[in-house]
Amino acid sequence: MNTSNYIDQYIEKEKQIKANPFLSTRIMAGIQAPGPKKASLWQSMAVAAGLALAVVSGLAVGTMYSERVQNYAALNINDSSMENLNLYYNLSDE
Amino acid sequence: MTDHEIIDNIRSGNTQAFQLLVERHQEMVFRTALGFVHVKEEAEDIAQEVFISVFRSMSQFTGQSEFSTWLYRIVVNTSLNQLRKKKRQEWLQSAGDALTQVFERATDDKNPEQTMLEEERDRAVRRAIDSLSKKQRTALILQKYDELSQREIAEIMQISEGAVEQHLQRARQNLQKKLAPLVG
Repeated sequence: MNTSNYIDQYIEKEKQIKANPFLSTRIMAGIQAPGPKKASLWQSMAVAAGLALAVVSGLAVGTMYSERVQNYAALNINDSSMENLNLYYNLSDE
Repeated sequence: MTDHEIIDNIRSGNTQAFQLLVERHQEMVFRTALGFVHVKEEAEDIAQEVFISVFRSMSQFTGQSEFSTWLYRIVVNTSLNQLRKKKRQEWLQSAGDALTQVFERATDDKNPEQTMLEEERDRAVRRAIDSLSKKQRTALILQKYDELSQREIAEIMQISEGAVEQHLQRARQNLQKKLAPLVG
Protein backbone atom coordinates (compact mmCIF):
# COMPACT_ATOMS: atom_id res chain seq x y z
CA MET A 1 0.00 0.00 0.00
CA ASN A 2 1.42 3.39 -0.91
CA THR A 3 1.19 6.66 1.01
CA SER A 4 -1.69 8.02 -1.11
CA ASN A 5 -3.78 5.02 -0.09
CA TYR A 6 -3.03 5.61 3.59
CA ILE A 7 -4.02 9.27 3.25
CA ASP A 8 -7.21 8.46 1.34
CA GLN A 9 -8.12 5.76 3.87
CA TYR A 10 -7.61 8.16 6.79
CA ILE A 11 -9.64 10.91 5.12
CA GLU A 12 -12.49 8.49 4.26
CA LYS A 13 -12.57 7.41 7.90
CA GLU A 14 -12.85 11.02 9.07
CA LYS A 15 -15.54 11.79 6.50
CA GLN A 16 -17.68 9.03 8.03
CA ILE A 17 -17.82 10.95 11.32
CA LYS A 18 -21.18 12.68 11.57
CA ALA A 19 -22.01 15.77 13.59
CA ASN A 20 -24.38 15.68 16.55
CA PRO A 21 -27.94 15.61 15.12
CA PHE A 22 -28.89 18.48 17.44
CA LEU A 23 -26.14 20.76 16.13
CA SER A 24 -28.61 22.99 14.27
CA THR A 25 -30.67 23.39 17.47
CA ARG A 26 -27.53 24.34 19.34
CA ILE A 27 -26.58 26.85 16.64
CA MET A 28 -30.04 28.48 16.63
CA ALA A 29 -29.92 28.71 20.43
CA GLY A 30 -26.53 30.40 20.17
CA ILE A 31 -27.89 32.89 17.64
CA GLN A 32 -30.95 33.74 19.72
CA ALA A 33 -28.89 34.28 22.87
CA PRO A 34 -28.01 37.95 23.38
CA GLY A 35 -24.57 38.76 22.07
CA PRO A 36 -21.85 40.39 24.13
CA LYS A 37 -22.76 44.01 24.79
CA LYS A 38 -20.18 46.51 23.68
CA ALA A 39 -19.89 49.67 25.75
CA SER A 40 -20.20 52.97 23.89
CA LEU A 41 -17.26 55.37 23.72
CA TRP A 42 -18.95 57.76 26.15
CA GLN A 43 -19.51 54.99 28.68
CA SER A 44 -15.86 53.92 28.49
CA MET A 45 -14.71 57.54 28.87
CA ALA A 46 -17.00 58.07 31.86
CA VAL A 47 -15.63 54.96 33.58
CA ALA A 48 -12.05 56.04 32.88
CA ALA A 49 -12.76 59.55 34.17
CA GLY A 50 -14.38 58.14 37.31
CA LEU A 51 -11.35 55.96 38.01
CA ALA A 52 -8.97 58.85 37.43
CA LEU A 53 -11.04 61.03 39.80
CA ALA A 54 -10.96 58.33 42.48
CA VAL A 55 -7.18 58.01 42.21
CA VAL A 56 -6.62 61.79 42.33
CA SER A 57 -9.01 62.16 45.30
CA GLY A 58 -7.19 59.41 47.15
CA LEU A 59 -3.85 61.09 46.55
CA ALA A 60 -5.24 64.47 47.63
CA VAL A 61 -6.72 63.07 50.86
CA GLY A 62 -3.50 61.23 51.54
CA THR A 63 -1.33 64.36 51.21
CA MET A 64 -3.69 66.40 53.46
CA TYR A 65 -2.46 64.61 56.56
CA SER A 66 0.49 66.30 58.20
CA GLU A 67 2.19 65.31 61.39
CA ARG A 68 1.31 67.72 64.22
CA VAL A 69 4.19 69.05 66.24
CA GLN A 70 3.12 69.21 69.86
CA ASN A 71 4.66 71.89 72.00
CA TYR A 72 4.60 70.55 75.47
CA ALA A 73 4.26 73.18 78.20
CA ALA A 74 5.71 72.44 81.60
CA LEU A 75 3.01 71.49 84.12
CA ASN A 76 2.94 73.54 87.30
CA ILE A 77 1.54 71.45 90.05
CA ASN A 78 0.33 73.61 92.91
CA ASP A 79 0.11 71.26 95.86
CA SER A 80 -2.06 73.63 97.88
CA SER A 81 -4.78 73.69 95.28
CA MET A 82 -4.97 69.94 95.11
CA GLU A 83 -7.80 68.22 96.89
CA ASN A 84 -7.06 67.70 100.55
CA LEU A 85 -7.51 64.03 101.18
CA ASN A 86 -6.91 64.42 104.91
CA LEU A 87 -10.48 65.50 105.31
CA TYR A 88 -11.66 62.05 104.25
CA TYR A 89 -9.31 60.35 106.61
CA ASN A 90 -10.66 62.48 109.53
CA LEU A 91 -14.27 61.70 108.62
CA SER A 92 -13.69 57.99 108.53
CA ASP A 93 -12.15 58.08 112.01
CA GLU A 94 -15.25 59.68 113.37
CA MET B 1 -35.67 28.24 -2.16
CA THR B 2 -32.17 29.39 -3.12
CA ASP B 3 -29.59 30.61 -0.63
CA HIS B 4 -30.02 34.19 -1.85
CA GLU B 5 -33.78 34.02 -1.30
CA ILE B 6 -33.30 32.70 2.21
CA ILE B 7 -30.80 35.48 2.92
CA ASP B 8 -33.26 38.13 1.70
CA ASN B 9 -35.85 36.57 3.98
CA ILE B 10 -33.47 36.73 6.95
CA ARG B 11 -32.55 40.34 6.18
CA SER B 12 -36.22 41.29 6.18
CA GLY B 13 -36.44 40.08 9.79
CA ASN B 14 -37.28 36.37 9.58
CA THR B 15 -34.62 34.91 11.92
CA GLN B 16 -36.15 31.43 11.73
CA ALA B 17 -35.28 31.27 8.04
CA PHE B 18 -31.65 31.05 9.10
CA GLN B 19 -32.35 27.53 10.32
CA LEU B 20 -32.90 26.49 6.69
CA LEU B 21 -29.47 27.80 5.82
CA VAL B 22 -27.93 26.01 8.79
CA GLU B 23 -29.53 22.68 7.94
CA ARG B 24 -28.48 23.01 4.33
CA HIS B 25 -24.83 23.75 5.02
CA GLN B 26 -24.02 22.39 8.48
CA GLU B 27 -22.63 19.09 7.22
CA MET B 28 -20.27 20.85 4.85
CA VAL B 29 -19.11 23.23 7.57
CA PHE B 30 -18.61 20.39 10.04
CA ARG B 31 -16.72 18.24 7.54
CA THR B 32 -14.37 21.07 6.53
CA ALA B 33 -13.70 22.01 10.16
CA LEU B 34 -13.05 18.33 10.97
CA GLY B 35 -10.43 18.24 8.24
CA PHE B 36 -8.52 20.94 10.12
CA VAL B 37 -9.00 19.92 13.75
CA HIS B 38 -9.66 16.12 13.50
CA VAL B 39 -11.77 16.17 16.68
CA LYS B 40 -15.56 15.88 16.41
CA GLU B 41 -16.38 18.13 19.37
CA GLU B 42 -14.01 20.86 18.23
CA ALA B 43 -15.43 20.71 14.72
CA GLU B 44 -18.93 21.17 16.19
CA ASP B 45 -17.74 24.17 18.20
CA ILE B 46 -16.22 25.68 15.07
CA ALA B 47 -19.44 25.04 13.16
CA GLN B 48 -21.43 26.90 15.82
CA GLU B 49 -18.95 29.78 15.80
CA VAL B 50 -19.09 29.96 11.99
CA PHE B 51 -22.87 30.13 11.78
CA ILE B 52 -23.14 32.69 14.56
CA SER B 53 -20.51 34.77 12.80
CA VAL B 54 -22.41 34.39 9.49
CA PHE B 55 -25.67 35.47 11.11
CA ARG B 56 -24.11 38.53 12.72
CA SER B 57 -22.29 39.62 9.57
CA MET B 58 -25.09 38.84 7.11
CA SER B 59 -25.10 42.46 5.98
CA GLN B 60 -21.50 42.08 4.74
CA PHE B 61 -22.50 39.42 2.21
CA THR B 62 -22.90 41.38 -0.99
CA GLY B 63 -24.01 38.49 -3.18
CA GLN B 64 -21.14 38.92 -5.65
CA SER B 65 -20.08 35.34 -5.03
CA GLU B 66 -22.06 32.26 -4.09
CA PHE B 67 -23.09 32.05 -0.44
CA SER B 68 -21.28 28.71 -0.15
CA THR B 69 -18.02 30.34 -1.32
CA TRP B 70 -18.33 33.02 1.34
CA LEU B 71 -19.22 30.37 3.92
CA TYR B 72 -16.20 28.23 3.01
CA ARG B 73 -13.92 31.24 3.52
CA ILE B 74 -15.35 31.81 6.99
CA VAL B 75 -14.97 28.11 7.91
CA VAL B 76 -11.35 28.05 6.75
CA ASN B 77 -10.45 31.25 8.63
CA THR B 78 -12.24 30.17 11.80
CA SER B 79 -10.58 26.74 11.68
CA LEU B 80 -7.13 28.24 11.17
CA ASN B 81 -7.71 30.62 14.09
CA GLN B 82 -8.76 27.70 16.24
CA LEU B 83 -5.59 25.82 15.29
CA ARG B 84 -3.50 28.83 16.31
CA LYS B 85 -5.16 28.87 19.74
CA LYS B 86 -4.87 25.09 20.00
CA LYS B 87 -1.14 25.13 19.34
CA ARG B 88 -0.60 26.85 22.68
CA GLN B 89 -2.33 24.00 24.44
CA GLU B 90 -0.69 21.24 22.41
CA TRP B 91 1.12 19.58 25.26
CA LEU B 92 -2.12 19.20 27.21
CA GLN B 93 -3.85 17.81 24.12
CA SER B 94 -1.23 15.10 23.55
CA ALA B 95 -1.55 13.96 27.17
CA GLY B 96 -5.32 13.81 26.74
CA ASP B 97 -5.03 11.88 23.50
CA ALA B 98 -2.74 9.33 25.13
CA LEU B 99 -5.23 8.81 27.96
CA THR B 100 -8.17 8.54 25.55
CA GLN B 101 -6.33 5.91 23.55
CA VAL B 102 -5.63 3.83 26.64
CA PHE B 103 -9.32 3.79 27.61
CA GLU B 104 -10.76 3.41 24.13
CA ARG B 105 -8.48 0.56 23.20
CA ALA B 106 -9.94 -1.66 25.91
CA THR B 107 -13.36 -1.69 24.23
CA ASP B 108 -12.12 -2.40 20.69
CA ASP B 109 -13.06 -5.75 19.20
CA LYS B 110 -10.18 -5.89 16.73
CA ASN B 111 -6.89 -7.66 17.18
CA PRO B 112 -4.94 -5.32 19.55
CA GLU B 113 -1.80 -5.40 17.43
CA GLN B 114 -3.76 -4.56 14.29
CA THR B 115 -5.57 -1.76 16.14
CA MET B 116 -2.30 -0.34 17.39
CA LEU B 117 -0.78 -0.39 13.91
CA GLU B 118 -3.82 1.35 12.44
CA GLU B 119 -3.80 3.98 15.16
CA GLU B 120 -0.11 4.62 14.66
CA ARG B 121 -0.64 4.97 10.93
CA ASP B 122 -3.57 7.35 11.44
CA ARG B 123 -1.51 9.42 13.86
CA ALA B 124 1.32 9.62 11.33
CA VAL B 125 -1.05 10.71 8.56
CA ARG B 126 -2.68 13.29 10.83
CA ARG B 127 0.71 14.67 11.87
CA ALA B 128 1.83 14.83 8.24
CA ILE B 129 -1.31 16.74 7.18
CA ASP B 130 -0.98 19.08 10.17
CA SER B 131 2.63 19.85 9.26
CA LEU B 132 1.68 21.25 5.85
CA SER B 133 1.66 25.00 5.31
CA LYS B 134 -1.67 26.81 5.75
CA LYS B 135 -2.32 27.13 2.02
CA GLN B 136 -1.29 23.57 1.16
CA ARG B 137 -3.42 22.23 3.98
CA THR B 138 -6.43 24.36 3.03
CA ALA B 139 -6.22 23.32 -0.62
CA LEU B 140 -5.84 19.66 0.33
CA ILE B 141 -8.78 19.71 2.75
CA LEU B 142 -11.07 21.48 0.31
CA GLN B 143 -10.17 18.96 -2.40
CA LYS B 144 -10.20 15.76 -0.36
CA TYR B 145 -12.87 16.44 2.27
CA ASP B 146 -15.23 18.65 0.27
CA GLU B 147 -14.40 17.24 -3.20
CA LEU B 148 -14.26 20.70 -4.71
CA SER B 149 -12.77 21.44 -8.11
CA GLN B 150 -9.61 23.50 -8.47
CA ARG B 151 -11.69 26.38 -9.83
CA GLU B 152 -13.93 26.34 -6.75
CA ILE B 153 -10.92 26.12 -4.44
CA ALA B 154 -9.28 29.04 -6.27
CA GLU B 155 -12.43 31.14 -5.74
CA ILE B 156 -12.53 30.32 -2.02
CA MET B 157 -8.84 30.95 -1.44
CA GLN B 158 -8.88 33.97 -3.76
CA ILE B 159 -5.88 32.74 -5.74
CA SER B 160 -5.42 31.50 -9.30
CA GLU B 161 -6.14 27.93 -10.38
CA GLY B 162 -2.46 27.53 -11.18
CA ALA B 163 -1.56 28.47 -7.62
CA VAL B 164 -4.08 25.92 -6.30
CA GLU B 165 -2.52 23.21 -8.46
CA GLN B 166 0.91 24.13 -7.16
CA HIS B 167 -0.21 24.00 -3.53
CA LEU B 168 -1.84 20.60 -4.09
CA GLN B 169 1.23 19.22 -5.80
CA ARG B 170 3.53 20.42 -3.03
CA ALA B 171 1.14 19.08 -0.41
CA ARG B 172 1.21 15.63 -2.06
CA GLN B 173 5.03 15.69 -2.31
CA ASN B 174 5.43 16.76 1.33
CA LEU B 175 3.02 14.10 2.51
CA GLN B 176 4.79 11.40 0.54
CA LYS B 177 8.12 12.47 1.99
CA LYS B 178 6.81 12.47 5.56
CA LEU B 179 4.95 9.18 5.22
CA ALA B 180 7.68 7.30 3.36
CA PRO B 181 8.79 5.48 6.57
CA LEU B 182 5.27 4.01 6.85
CA VAL B 183 5.58 2.29 3.50
CA GLY B 184 9.06 1.07 4.37
